[in-house]
Amino acid sequence: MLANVRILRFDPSADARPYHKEYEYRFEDYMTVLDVLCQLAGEQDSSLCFHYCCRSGHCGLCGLLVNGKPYLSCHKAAENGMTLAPLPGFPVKRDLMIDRRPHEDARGKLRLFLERESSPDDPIETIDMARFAGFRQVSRCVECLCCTAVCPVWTNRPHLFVGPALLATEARLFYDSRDTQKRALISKSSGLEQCVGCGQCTRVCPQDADPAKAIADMRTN
Amino acid sequence: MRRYYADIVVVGAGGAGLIAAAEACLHGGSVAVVSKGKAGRSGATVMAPGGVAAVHGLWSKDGDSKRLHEADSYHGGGWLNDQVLMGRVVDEIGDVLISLEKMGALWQRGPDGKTLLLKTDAGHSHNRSLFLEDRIGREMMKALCGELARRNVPVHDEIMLTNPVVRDGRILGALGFDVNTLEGVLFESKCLVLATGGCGMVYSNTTNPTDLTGDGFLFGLQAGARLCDMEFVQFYPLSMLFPESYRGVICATAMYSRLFNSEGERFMKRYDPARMENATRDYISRAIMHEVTQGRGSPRGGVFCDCTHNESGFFKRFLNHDYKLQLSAGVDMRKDRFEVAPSSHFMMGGLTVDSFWQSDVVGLYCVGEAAGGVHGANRISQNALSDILVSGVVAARHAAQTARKLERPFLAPGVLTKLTEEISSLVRSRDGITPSAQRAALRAVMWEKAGVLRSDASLREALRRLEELEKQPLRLGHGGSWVNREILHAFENKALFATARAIILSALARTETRGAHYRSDYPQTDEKWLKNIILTPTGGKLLVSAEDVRFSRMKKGEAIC
Repeated sequence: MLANVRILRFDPSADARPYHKEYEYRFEDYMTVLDVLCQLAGEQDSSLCFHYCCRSGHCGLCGLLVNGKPYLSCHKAAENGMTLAPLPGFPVKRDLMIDRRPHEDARGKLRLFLERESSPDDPIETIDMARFAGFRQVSRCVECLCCTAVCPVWTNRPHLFVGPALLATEARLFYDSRDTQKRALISKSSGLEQCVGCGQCTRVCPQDADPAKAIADMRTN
Repeated sequence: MRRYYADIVVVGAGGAGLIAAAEACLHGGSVAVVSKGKAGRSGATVMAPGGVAAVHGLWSKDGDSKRLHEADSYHGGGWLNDQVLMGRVVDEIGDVLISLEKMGALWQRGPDGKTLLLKTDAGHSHNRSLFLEDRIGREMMKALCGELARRNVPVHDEIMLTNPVVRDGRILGALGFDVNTLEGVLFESKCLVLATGGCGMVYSNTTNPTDLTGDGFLFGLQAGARLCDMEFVQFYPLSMLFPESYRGVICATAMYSRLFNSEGERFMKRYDPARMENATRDYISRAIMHEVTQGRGSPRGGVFCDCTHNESGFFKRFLNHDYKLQLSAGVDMRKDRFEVAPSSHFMMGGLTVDSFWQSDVVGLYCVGEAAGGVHGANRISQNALSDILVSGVVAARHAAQTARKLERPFLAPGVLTKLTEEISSLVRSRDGITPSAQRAALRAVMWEKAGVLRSDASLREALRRLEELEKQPLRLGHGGSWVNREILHAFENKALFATARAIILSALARTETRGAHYRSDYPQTDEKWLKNIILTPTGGKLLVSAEDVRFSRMKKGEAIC
């Protein structure tokens, strides 16, 4: 059976602006969006660019929009007539591949490493298990950027709000009972208080990392 | 062109590479990381679900000991392990895990917030593995990426290094290109640490991420380093066969499964009646492929797996990830049988290294899956992360010492010309097969002729078909030099060919069955083969030889207490 897909394409080195291109592909039961892209690149159009690495939700590189909503393409079932586009708000490298550099550049000021006044001699430290629950949850984040891409605050005020993905990453250290750095203060400088609490980030998270809860916890602590 | 210098350049940004870079920082000198993928998101470590096997006085119990961990590893490895390397892994892993926690990782604890929880898996006589949920690898990567940020280590990602520069048996640097712009890149360094991972992509079915293409093996051979144990590829028995992007992804656990052939027979009773599906990974993989080659396989080239005998609630507790994955492929493990097949999981072989993970080339170190010898003929579960961490630390420490003794190398930018010309001629190639078709053909040949079951005839057939395939010219689809992924794939394919050839030549030489290597024409283990097969690059060819194993720490049959 044949099915259709519409893909937003753009080669910044050759095209004036992005454009949609229609493809027909062999539909097989249970194929993922990633399967569709690999089939097209392998059999029809090897110039089609998209990013992926692990194929099973760990690397966080294959996020894109399917019919306007963000998904990991390796975990999203393909549909007939779907439209694919790169995650919005980021520069497009080529076709569905975004440039992650703005996200990576912002990491520096967040001091995303364990910091404390002094390191105890005890080789195995006792940790606060209530906080550890929060640590484990945000640690699931693979920084696929699905949440940041749909965040209304980041979309409208990218210079005032660093986005939920990076704040969730910051929260990993906020929940680490060993860390003595002022994580809430660092987050505040990165726009923590701009969050409107809409919960979009948590709804689209493919890893159940719950960035909205992490942001709320950092605001109240 | 771009030109960089660091005293120690680490190639690869998986777990082995990042811990090597983090350790190197502590011993003075400058450090840089180069990776063809996105640092922190490429390589196998980030996917690792299991645990890290480590015996340490602070958490081990029930009479466990380092000697027992070592003995378990040699038993699993068919006694071919390099005992000096494995001994170092066992001795040092506990302390490395403590320092990784101090960097920022956290391992799973009991309710008191202090007691580390331990788990186990096949091959270990005791519970000795630390873990976090089902994603220990991701946790390690988060801590290591943080540590490199703390130390301001430059991470040059999306740069593929293809050619070593060696003079008088010493590494001086490496050449490569930016995968986004195809611009030539030149790295000068006193020491270079290859942490390029394994080569799962050499087979149609693999559990590995798509970037494990054996790059380090080709790089090392070009530098003049030898390979060892390349016939030993571990196959995980139960992986998915569809949809295509999930091909090879682990989807079930043998001990909770019953396996049936197309005739509805629970065939393990013919291969291993005592252990049935509790047999080791290599036995089950072989049994499945025997059924497939004898015409009793499933439609897609595997067998049927049935988990329905497990009590309700079982799937949520033990197989939640597998259950969800199968559900997305239309399979409800609670009531459906589903197809499974073996999948290339881990390369035991690799570049030959000394007791500090330094190769035959002065200043060229190889760590993690890129190095051979640690795991012998078969790796037991949860020893992979132990290996990558300890090898990274030991190599980095030694490389820092080596670097202090060496002069800073300088390379004329002209050394890049040959590579940049090769790239521009590839961009213009319009006649032949695409890199993706070339790769698919290579992987199919290796799967069918040099995979789980091998024979002299099948291996020679594989060699012949690969030679033909490699001769065919390439056709690239889109031209242009901006984000041309096909160029990267074409270079990765060169590494896949070199790796495939090394696997075949070693497998041909070993006329016995041992560990993960099964010869249908030599199905017995032969004690005279307590040897490691070595491949030496000589005049564009690989010279095959065998060296006796040195039982420097433990002898087979020795009582362990």
